Amino acid sequence: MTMVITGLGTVSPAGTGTDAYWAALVEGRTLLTPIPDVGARGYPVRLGGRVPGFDPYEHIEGRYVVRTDAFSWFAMVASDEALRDSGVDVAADPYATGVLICSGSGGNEFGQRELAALWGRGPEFVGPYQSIAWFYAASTGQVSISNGLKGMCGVLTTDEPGMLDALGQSRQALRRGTPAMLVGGSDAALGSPFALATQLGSGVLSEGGDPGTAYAPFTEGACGFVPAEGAAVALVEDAATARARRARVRAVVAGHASTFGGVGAFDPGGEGLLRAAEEAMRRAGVGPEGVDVVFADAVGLPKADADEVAALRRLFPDGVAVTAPKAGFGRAYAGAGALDVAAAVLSLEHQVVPPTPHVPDAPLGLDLVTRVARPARLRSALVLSRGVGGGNSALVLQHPDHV
Amino acid sequence: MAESRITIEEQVELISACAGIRTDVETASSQTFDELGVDSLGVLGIVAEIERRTGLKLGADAEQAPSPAALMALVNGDVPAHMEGA
Repeated sequence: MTMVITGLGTVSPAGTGTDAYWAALVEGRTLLTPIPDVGARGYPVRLGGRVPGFDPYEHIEGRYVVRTDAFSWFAMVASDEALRDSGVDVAADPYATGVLICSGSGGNEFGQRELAALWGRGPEFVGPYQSIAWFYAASTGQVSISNGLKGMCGVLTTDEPGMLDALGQSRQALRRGTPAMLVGGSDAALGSPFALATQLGSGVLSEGGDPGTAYAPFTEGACGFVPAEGAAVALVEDAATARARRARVRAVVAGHASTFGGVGAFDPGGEGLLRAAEEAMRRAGVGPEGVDVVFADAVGLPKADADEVAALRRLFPDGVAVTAPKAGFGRAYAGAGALDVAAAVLSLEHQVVPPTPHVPDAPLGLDLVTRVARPARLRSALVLSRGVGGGNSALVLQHPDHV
Repeated sequence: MAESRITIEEQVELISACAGIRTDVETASSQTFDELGVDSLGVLGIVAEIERRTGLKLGADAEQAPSPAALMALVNGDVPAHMEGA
């Protein structure tokens, strides 16, 4: 079976829709903004990659808005775009489409509001939708309910690599009788103090206030990353299914692998990341010469960056183009790996490598694409992602003409 | 008891605030919660808000009310229910 992406949707700090996302990526636009409502409470984090001007009622039926947190709104809007883009006729067979949307820490903003009501005013002031809105599976559930999708559904919570792992899992779902899967990751960590508080203890967030330097991976000034919010969702199916319904194939999901590198902020030493990348490439049937661009994890912490560079040198002794467009908008937890997957699909499609914003020069002997986008012949892209706690995932995507 | 009564206009407002569904007096008067698209958790939220506004304890009967009209009848004492002043 060859798994292909035939639909794509994003909600990002560039706004809603993949067109807006790609336009910002190619420009290397800075999308980090102050988060004053959180900073005013004495939090050390000052910048965030927020989805600008997002009014859920513009995109989602009211009855779904009141029962969901922002992380589900983003998932629902990205899923709608992916479904539309795919052209799948959901109503023709509700059991033919499933949902697997990854979550980072659930519905924090909704949860904080209801918990404040509980402790501040009493149990009778807690809305009943708290029972479902905070939950990790809420996004998958509401995407399923609002679109009437009755295929295999699930949720993965593997921090940032979530969508990469969900794509790996979807292969099984396709084999087991759900011919199309909506797969993605979504998070909204900036909406409330509680959401951000859950992240502070990890010690990986940048305290910088200058959008130009706060998140500058692979540089000497690297001081952590800026948190962001957003979602990306892809519709995947077997190539034969896509062909039969004359769908446009946007990318081939050629290989996935994940490893666990041991407890720690990030896989210490990068061995686990290296192993995941090697295995994903093996499964995709590509060697180092077959990979044309790497979407790096680019945590923005000196040790984690050095580990990744070492892994890249081992994987690609002759060098490879590397980029980290998320330096422009931050890391959106479960949305981070997902937005990188979307960036890789768009990059293959446009045959352009978007630049790494805020990194003026390629450091550490890396062929990092900086300053301006680079047109290139792109057959395959490798996406790397690490999660807090030691998870590592790698995904190989290919241009449909080069499989 | 006047302040413990609710009107259909209030229900229209509560259906919007608690369940996110816009409706009007005529529709809310004649349709069931199900037909309006209000799920069981939505009804729960509406009942809780009515309890706060009126000071009444409506109990499980109210949560099972099939329609805004039935719920209104229950709250306004047109149907016997387990009501206690709060």
